[in-house]
Amino acid sequence: MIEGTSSRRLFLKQSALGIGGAVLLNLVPEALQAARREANAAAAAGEKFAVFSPDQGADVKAFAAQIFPTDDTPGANEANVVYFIDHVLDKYEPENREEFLNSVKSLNQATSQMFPGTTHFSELTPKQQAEVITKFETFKRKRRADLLGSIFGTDANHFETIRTYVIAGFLSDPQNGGNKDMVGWQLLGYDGMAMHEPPFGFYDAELLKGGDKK
Amino acid sequence: MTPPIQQPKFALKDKVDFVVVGSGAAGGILAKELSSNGFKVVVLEQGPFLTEKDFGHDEYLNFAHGPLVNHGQKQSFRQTEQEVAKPALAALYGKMVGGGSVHFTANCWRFHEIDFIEASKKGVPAGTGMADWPITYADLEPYYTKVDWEVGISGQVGTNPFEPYHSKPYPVPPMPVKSSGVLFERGAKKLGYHPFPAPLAVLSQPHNNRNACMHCGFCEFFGCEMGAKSSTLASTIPVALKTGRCEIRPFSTVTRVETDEHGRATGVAYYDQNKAEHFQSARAVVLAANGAETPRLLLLSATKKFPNGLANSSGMVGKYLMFNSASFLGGLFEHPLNDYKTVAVTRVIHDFYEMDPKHGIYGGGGMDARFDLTPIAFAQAGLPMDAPKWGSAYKAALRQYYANTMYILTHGTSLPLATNNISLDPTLKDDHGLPAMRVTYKDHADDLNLQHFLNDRAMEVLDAAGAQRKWTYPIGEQNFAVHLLGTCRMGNDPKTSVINADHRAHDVPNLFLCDGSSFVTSGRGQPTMTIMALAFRAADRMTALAKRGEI
Repeated sequence: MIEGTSSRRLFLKQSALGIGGAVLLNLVPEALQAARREANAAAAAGEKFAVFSPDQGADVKAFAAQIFPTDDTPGANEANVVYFIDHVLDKYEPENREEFLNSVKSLNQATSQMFPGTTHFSELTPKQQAEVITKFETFKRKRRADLLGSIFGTDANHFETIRTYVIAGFLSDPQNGGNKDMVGWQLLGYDGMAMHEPPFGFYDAELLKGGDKK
Repeated sequence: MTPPIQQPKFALKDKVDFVVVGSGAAGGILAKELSSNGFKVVVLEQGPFLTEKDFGHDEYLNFAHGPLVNHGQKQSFRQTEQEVAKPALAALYGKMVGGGSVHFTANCWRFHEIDFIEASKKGVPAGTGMADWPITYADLEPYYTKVDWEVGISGQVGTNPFEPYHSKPYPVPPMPVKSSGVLFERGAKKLGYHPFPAPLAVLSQPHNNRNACMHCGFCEFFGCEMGAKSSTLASTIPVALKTGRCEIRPFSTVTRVETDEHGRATGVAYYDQNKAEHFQSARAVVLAANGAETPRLLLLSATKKFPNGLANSSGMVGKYLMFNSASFLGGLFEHPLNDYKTVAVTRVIHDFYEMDPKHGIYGGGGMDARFDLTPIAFAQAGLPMDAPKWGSAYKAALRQYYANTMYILTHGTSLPLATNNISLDPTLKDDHGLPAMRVTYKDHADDLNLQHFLNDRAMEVLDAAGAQRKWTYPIGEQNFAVHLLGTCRMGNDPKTSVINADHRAHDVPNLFLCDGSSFVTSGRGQPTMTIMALAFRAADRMTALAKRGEI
């Protein structure tokens, strides 16, 4: 592992990829189905996690709900984000567990610093949680040139590490257990279809109709 | 992981005619051409042999588990030779049969005449290694046409007033324009520019018994499950395997080119999937391992006879690394573009391919209108720099921007600098215990000026197209690249170049290098088309030399 990226790498499998990676890839669809079933079952049964302790699960869930709150549209809770993260750390990224859990620990340290007497982010009121995130927010908007770097081995702080998994859980293919009922994709307006036909959008449709007079 | 077509198994001690290292944009074509010309060929590829059934649209799996690229490889990076390089992935490349041609964005236009003769036409900027190529556009044109027809490029000749000569039309028409293309065209035309349909390595209609694109929208960083994207995996590699004279060995990591006491290459040493070491014997060795790994392999192949690395009497191996300069900006529009559908790019301009001297900027560039972010990537990096990053405001921004956003990529020259290079890290080792790749790179100020200029022009295009909001991402020095060019440059003078116009190493008569490393200049971005054309031409030259008994 490269020092400095291994500790910051987000959801990328490097060690798993080396020799057995391709084999793993072949196994994935079946394993994924299992993960999805388990995620859904876990969600239905209440908070049973494979990796997270109940406290950790509650903290991640609360953090995810701050990133994607439930407002006029579904949020991280409805998308099953916490179960997605639990299951990918269980099934696909066991070597990243420690890094992720360290990030959760860091989140709780920030919580204790700001609100003495508390030990868990999930204990706070939503307003207090927002204060923690605001204070420690250093989520970086990537330069375009850094986007690939951010995907393939990023420089990220603890908050950004958790946030990246939350985003993946909200917007990944639903077969991974998150983005339940495609609520994440619906927010974006992404249809998830495997094929399309022109016209694709308003402006090319307008052109096809001969309406491009501007 | 079984190859899709039966292929021969050559024994290691079988002296095959050519062993080719790498199966990407260059290697996949060399394999087809050399085997079709009657030679026995073994291709060694570091990555897996995937097929269309292995490709899908799952973004999490693709980035988390997709073995398409070399993430996880130990490399180091520094800006200048005075610094100690720090471990970091700086050179990203395709690592699978088909290489980067499998997952690239698919922009596939040709270099122009000027790219080959810019030094003599425009002079050499002080401190740079600008030089003419030993071949001209006219030499390469027939091979560009071979790429169009054999690999499969969609486009329309005659729509770009700045385009170089084409001897033949494209085999299939351009992809249907999408909304970003319509808006870009509207804005660019208002400003007097000349937008044209992007030449793409994606089939708009069936061709060579391959499918047409179904507009799924997963070109960049995904493999095409339709075979519609014109990778070498989909186009030339199946032809190579059908000859019965080509064997592609996946999971084979080459560590050394071996040479004998006469200084001739005898074959290559490599590790298999189980880290067992082998030696493949061959009459000639061809390195097509990409612009970062080809020079590294030469440096790793040093001997007493070649103490500074193989084929490196000039000292040029690894020098003149070029990434292509680039900038990126976005625009928000009133109505949904739904630009996540279909290919990334449908319109391009080359109006600034040669900069007006009044700007005092060398080289030039272009712009393409695109949308190439899948949902997770969009949520991480697609919004303006100042957009909210969490909470209901973040959700609202994602909802507002995703369907209504387009991007412009400006792309251009990187000047060749000896101080930008690939070398061996003195301390960091790779997974096989070999010296890791060290990347040293700092953009030339002129290239950054060029990008500021193009970025300003692109902002004007977004305005003219009616963007409600437009934004740019910072332009800065690059520390990460997917274009790896110029590190074993081609030239007539053995003192200043590594290979000759036949791609033969000046120092080793039966060693050939062909990939991005062969470039003398960077073009203006989007090098894949030219890598492919060079490979067709190099195979012709190798064939002629071999048939005359000169290898």
